[in-house]
Amino acid sequence: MAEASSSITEKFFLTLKSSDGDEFVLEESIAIQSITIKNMVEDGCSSSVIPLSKVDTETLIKVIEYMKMHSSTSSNEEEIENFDKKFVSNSINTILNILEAANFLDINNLLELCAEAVANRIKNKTPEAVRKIFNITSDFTPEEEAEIRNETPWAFEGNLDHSLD
Amino acid sequence: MSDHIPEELMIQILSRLPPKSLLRFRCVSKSWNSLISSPEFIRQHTQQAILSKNPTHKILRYFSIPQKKELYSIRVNNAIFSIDTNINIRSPFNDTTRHYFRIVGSCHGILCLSDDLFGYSHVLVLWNPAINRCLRLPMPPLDCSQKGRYMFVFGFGFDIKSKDYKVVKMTYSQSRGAFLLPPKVEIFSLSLGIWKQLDGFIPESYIVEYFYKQAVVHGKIHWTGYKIDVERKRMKNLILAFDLSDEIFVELQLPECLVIGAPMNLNTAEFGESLAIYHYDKCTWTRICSIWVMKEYGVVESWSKEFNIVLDWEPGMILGFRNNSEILLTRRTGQLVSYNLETHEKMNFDIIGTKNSFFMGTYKESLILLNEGQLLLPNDFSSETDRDECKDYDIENRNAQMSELWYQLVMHQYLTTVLETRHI
Repeated sequence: MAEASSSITEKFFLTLKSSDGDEFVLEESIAIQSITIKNMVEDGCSSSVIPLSKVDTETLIKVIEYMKMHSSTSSNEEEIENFDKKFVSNSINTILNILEAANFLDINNLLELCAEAVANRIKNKTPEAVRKIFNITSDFTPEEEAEIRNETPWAFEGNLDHSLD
Repeated sequence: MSDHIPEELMIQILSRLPPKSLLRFRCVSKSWNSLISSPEFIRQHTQQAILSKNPTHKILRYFSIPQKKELYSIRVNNAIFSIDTNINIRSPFNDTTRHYFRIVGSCHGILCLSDDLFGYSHVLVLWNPAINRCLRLPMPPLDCSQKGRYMFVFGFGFDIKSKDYKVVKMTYSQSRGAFLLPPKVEIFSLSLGIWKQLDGFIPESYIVEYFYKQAVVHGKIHWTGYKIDVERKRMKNLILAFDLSDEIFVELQLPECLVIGAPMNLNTAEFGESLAIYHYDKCTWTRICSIWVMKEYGVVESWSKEFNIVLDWEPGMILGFRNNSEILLTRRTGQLVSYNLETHEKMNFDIIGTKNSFFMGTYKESLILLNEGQLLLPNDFSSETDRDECKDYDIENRNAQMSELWYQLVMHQYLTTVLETRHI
């Protein structure tokens, strides 16, 4: 069925609008990797601009970059792999933003990639570094914390990473 | 830094972390502590580990001849089978008087161990080496306090339906030199923490005692067994399977040519997701072993002889498949060898242990037993073993290899006697 129609098939385009008000025009076939956008298209919201109130411009640019690479038929497995490797070398904070966007946009592959990347980055970190990264204040008393540490002292041994990225 | 991440996303991240990191991050905050310790999270974390594309690990156990002790290690399944230094197993059982444990099975990072290889014992434990926690199972209600009167067979696996870990215990009681059929069967559920007796149908068959090794595929535990064919006055070999979800027994037929013959020469095994069986030409110092695979589970006609291993060196026992074409086995000298079934190349490892002490299972780090298990302090467990009982067997004065041979001989003689009597 592709042969006759492909030459005359019009490419459909969607306009995505970030929370900062920037608009991005993207091919529909690429954008529908996001189940959220796909559902909107199916519900007939595609003619107008799709507002993504939870995604800022910086994050949206990254997400679009990802979707373009992962939908393009010309990119081979190796290219995609290299792209992903480079993609997750962004700062933890950026990856966390992309993770939230992937969750909102419902792009499962991207969500898994980001979750895996964050896990890899924090795996050897100290609890103090993790608290800072995730903006958490400890609600343990020093005694309570010491008790947990003493239970499994080996989990606190080795070359732990104090950095915040 | 980042604003608060929703909990569902935090779970996505944390479920991809190794247990060691999670134990450390329990002290990040109270909510992280309760999240990481919650049964739902532990389940999800285990699930994630099973699905992950990370390279598979194997757990290896053997009683080291040079070091004279039981050693456990986590191995990367690469060419050199190297130790994964990220996972440091603290073997808490160094001081055991019984040389080494029977490893009933390995599932989702927990080992089920029984201390019955070198004498009568009721010690049955679940052990998670990654978090150093251990659960000593309570005594089953069935009273088997009189030693020598019973033979036990254990099985261990995961019930996918109720998402629970179960231990099956079969007790054959002895009367006039023979074990009575059918055995009594009890099941321990980790989530309930108790044993219950199985009232359903239990087939009138024996498991190949002492040598038994379980194989868990298709949600069922499999053992090599045999049955008395009264009419034809002979033994019939078969596979006994226990369905972990439905808690029922089923008998599976072996390939026609394996039905008659010494059941000790057969061993159930796992070949990927398929049920397999090793058939040795002799029970000890074999040179020929064929590996049969049940290509379509439950279909007797689908048994297929996939590999025939004929070796001109002195192999001992097959430990299992590392992948579709590579097996691990032990040499007569107690050395561990990796053998490629296609290229016939072998690789000797610098690992030497007693013949029967080798165990290899798949390993995935998990947090299971974090709530149920006790933290294990070095040598904590061994102090609980019944030392008086061991003195009966004079084991402390015997070395592991001797004891191994001795117990194997006793079982062998027993089995041979049983088999011969039935032939008459």
